[in-house]
Amino acid sequence: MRQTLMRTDALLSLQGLTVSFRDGRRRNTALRDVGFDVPHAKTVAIVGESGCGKSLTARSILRILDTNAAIDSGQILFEGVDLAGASEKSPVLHGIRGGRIGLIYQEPLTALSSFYTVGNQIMEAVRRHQDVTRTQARERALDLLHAVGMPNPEQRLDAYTFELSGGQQQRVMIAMALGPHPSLLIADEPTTALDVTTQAVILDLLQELQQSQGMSILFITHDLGVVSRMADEVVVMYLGEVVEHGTKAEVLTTPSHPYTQALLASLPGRGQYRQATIQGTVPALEDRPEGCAFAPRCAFARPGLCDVQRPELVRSDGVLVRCHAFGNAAPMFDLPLQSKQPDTVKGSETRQFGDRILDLRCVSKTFEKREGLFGQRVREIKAVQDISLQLRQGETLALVGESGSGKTTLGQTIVGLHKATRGRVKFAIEGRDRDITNLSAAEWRKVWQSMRMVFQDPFSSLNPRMTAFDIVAEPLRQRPGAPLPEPDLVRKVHELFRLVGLDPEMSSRYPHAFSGGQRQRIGVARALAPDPKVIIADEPVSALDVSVQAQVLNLLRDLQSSLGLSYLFISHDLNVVASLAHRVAVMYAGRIVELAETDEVLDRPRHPYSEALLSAVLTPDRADQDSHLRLPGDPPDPSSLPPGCVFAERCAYATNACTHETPEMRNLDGHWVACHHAEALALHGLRNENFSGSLAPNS
Amino acid sequence: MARFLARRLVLMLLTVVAISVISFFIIILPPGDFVDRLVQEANQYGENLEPHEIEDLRRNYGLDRSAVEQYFVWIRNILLRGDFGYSFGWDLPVSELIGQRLGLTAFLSVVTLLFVWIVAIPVGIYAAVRKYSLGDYVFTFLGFIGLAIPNFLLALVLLYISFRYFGQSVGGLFSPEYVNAPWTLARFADLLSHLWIPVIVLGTAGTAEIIRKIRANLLDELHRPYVLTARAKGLGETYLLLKYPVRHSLNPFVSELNDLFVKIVSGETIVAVVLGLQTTGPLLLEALKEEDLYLASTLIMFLSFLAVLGTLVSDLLLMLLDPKIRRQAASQEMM
Repeated sequence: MRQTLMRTDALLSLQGLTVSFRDGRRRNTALRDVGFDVPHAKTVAIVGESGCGKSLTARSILRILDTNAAIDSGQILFEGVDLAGASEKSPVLHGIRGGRIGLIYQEPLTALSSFYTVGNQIMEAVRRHQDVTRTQARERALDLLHAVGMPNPEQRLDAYTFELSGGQQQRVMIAMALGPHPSLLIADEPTTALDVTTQAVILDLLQELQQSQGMSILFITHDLGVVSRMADEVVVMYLGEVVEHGTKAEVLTTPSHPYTQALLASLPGRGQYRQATIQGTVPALEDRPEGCAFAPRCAFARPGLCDVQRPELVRSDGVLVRCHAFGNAAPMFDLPLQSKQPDTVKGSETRQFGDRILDLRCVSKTFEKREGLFGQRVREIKAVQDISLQLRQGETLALVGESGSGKTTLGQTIVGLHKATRGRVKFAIEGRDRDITNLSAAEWRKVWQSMRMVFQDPFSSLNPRMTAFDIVAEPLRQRPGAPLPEPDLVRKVHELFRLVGLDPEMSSRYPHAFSGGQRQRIGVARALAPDPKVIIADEPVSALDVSVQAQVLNLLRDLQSSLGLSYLFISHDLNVVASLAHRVAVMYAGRIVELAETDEVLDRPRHPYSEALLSAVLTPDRADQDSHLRLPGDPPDPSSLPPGCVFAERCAYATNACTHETPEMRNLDGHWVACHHAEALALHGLRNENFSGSLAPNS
Repeated sequence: MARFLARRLVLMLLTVVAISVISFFIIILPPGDFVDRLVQEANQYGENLEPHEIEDLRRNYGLDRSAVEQYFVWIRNILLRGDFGYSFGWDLPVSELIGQRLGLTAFLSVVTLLFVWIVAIPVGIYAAVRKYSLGDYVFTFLGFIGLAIPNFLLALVLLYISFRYFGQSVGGLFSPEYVNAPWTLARFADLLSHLWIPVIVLGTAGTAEIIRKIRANLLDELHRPYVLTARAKGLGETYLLLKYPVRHSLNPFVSELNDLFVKIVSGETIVAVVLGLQTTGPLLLEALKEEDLYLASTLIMFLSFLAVLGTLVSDLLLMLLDPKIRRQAASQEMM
């Protein structure tokens, strides 16, 4: 018996779709019995961690699978055609592909060709599906760029992708997908590679276009905040199966399946809580568990049932759930299922920080680019300008801002990967304040024992030719002075493995044998090896799935309270920052524009840029955004910064003074802000909006 | 763009000048000169030259002056009169000697290059798209054979085949009746009928290499997101293959184009000796053995000029192919 949300108005209907990958002589099932409908003019979101088959579903619908994947059974009904059964060469299939169904996805830079102008690529899509002349196609491409809000569309038509910003590239992708008037748009993580502010603008655009064209959207994302902003219905997938399907409110507000519950619970919350996590990771396809796919990671699994028998998709209060707790076996479970509450709560009042450990005074980093026939012209790129901040022992200071704001350069300048052009960095080690701005390579090596880095990408930041043991032991072996005797070294490395929650038994393996979260733990262990005081963490959880992200964040929190570490935490994700940081510094175009306690910045921001950044933050319970706070345009080019306030040209509150005078950093009751109008503005934060002022946005 | 070209031409000129200096002095560097060889030869025939006769010879050949002086005289004559000096060994002006041979070398090299492309590009694309198919394996096998067989051996084999089965005259670029004939259509046709052997010999290794390269480059590109985008647009498979991944995969190939060209020009010597071709290779070899100063220097200078020209052509092609490089050149950021 087929179970879906019953309807007659489905534009797209998947039924029992099963897709497998060929791996040598084996076939591993990647999509198993996937069924759901996409109704007319509605948005259906597919969510789940990576490896759950979300993108594969999209590619199956368009029949653009890799050659080692094949549809084994099932139907994909779209406008009366079964796409699953259509022949590879069928003109109907090719007409639907790109014509009736458009596709946009992550990383617009790689999804577009850099060899042809964007106009060429848009026109190609139009001409493939509509019988128009070149001139007409060009007109249409121009209209499309207008429609997707591209600035200067006439010029952009002849631009190449590398001449556009990330947001503009994604607009091109959208224009291209919409060219032939599709009735269904498949958006596969379309905003994951973009900054939050750009994400907000692109999501607005998709909603507008959906309303004006009456399109349906199949929206694939791992971000539950985006789901809550965009979706009418939500399909939760786990290991290639639909585990829950319902309306947005049903799924996000009262989740049924333990997996959905766990996903929602592992989202970072405000304050210093230990977050709930899902143990383990999504298994590989060839290790698909018997019975319920989620059983090995499920807190409610009943042995003898869940690990043996695969649950059916059953209807429970209007929602479809694939879980024994909602089927005939429900009496075995205590309904409603309740996820465990977070274990410990550390009162934010009891926070005690030690002495100042890191002290930056007016640090600037300018890169020089030589141009001209013999490199005689020098162009200055001001990546970081006049940064002053202090980090205390046991404290987490977050650096937030859009990409290109200079966060990473600042972090790398502090640890000496770049040499500061101006300013001082003082670091309290060996009982004294030491100036570490100008050090020799040998002196840096000593400092690096106390100040360590954790990098963003756990895949490329570990040497694939070294075992996990050697990776963690390397900083110990490099330690100046007498080498550690081998038995002590082994003991210390194993201790570090246990500290970060890895089994020392695994230390002889190479990085590829570990999952992303485990690799990031190795990265943390490597940073901790020489007993550092300060860790500079550059987007350490951005590349991880939410459930794994929660595990790593918990680890960082535990290590801070047990070892008294100080973190400089670089992140673009304000939800993560809210959960981990004690103080937040907001960076824009190489400058700090606001610096205060986390709650202050998040709830009572005093800089218009912070407000814009916060307005773009999405969480499942905060999906209604103020669209008047959208940031127009792009950040300024760091090689030609405007005079006055660097944010003025995008600021809704800017006055004449802003474009002439550079605002100084001012202390307003412990809340540092660099804005001429900080006192007068009534800005909106995440929670409290109890501020009053006299200036209103003049946009 | 014009400024980019101007800069490249200036740099090219500087490179050629530097090469002329180096080649000239390297040939002069070893002890002994052409006159010493003459004396030696005379001794072998039992003639003894008087010291003043030797001095006279030196003066006649201009070898009594300092090396620096000789170099500047040589360069001055080239610049002012287009006179590349005198070949001691051949007793002829260098320009008369090398004119036709240089032309033949350039022609042979360019034809070989075209042969390599025409064969290697489609085969490379086929081998990538049909990875691990029978065709891929066959081409891979043939390619490795092509890489492994030494050029001179291949030359001998082809000579045998052409003589045994096609009854063609052995060796050379012309049939005997055309060797010293003036250029006519018939002579050109005769050249073409002889050209295939050296072209195949010179091109086989390069073809095999390029097939491997194109195959590897294209395999990298075939699964890139932009290919998926093109497919999702509903484009036909052949069209999108040629428009997107093939075009993207040509970049590393074009940037190595000059290496291939240089390999063909320098690999030509042995083949030309074996096949008896009237190209520059055997001439240069002989000139070096005889310490024929001006002939050797001029040849080296021209051959390096060809190589430098090849680099410029491959850079220009790269610009034509890749808009990113084009824009960089336009904004004067490329050195």
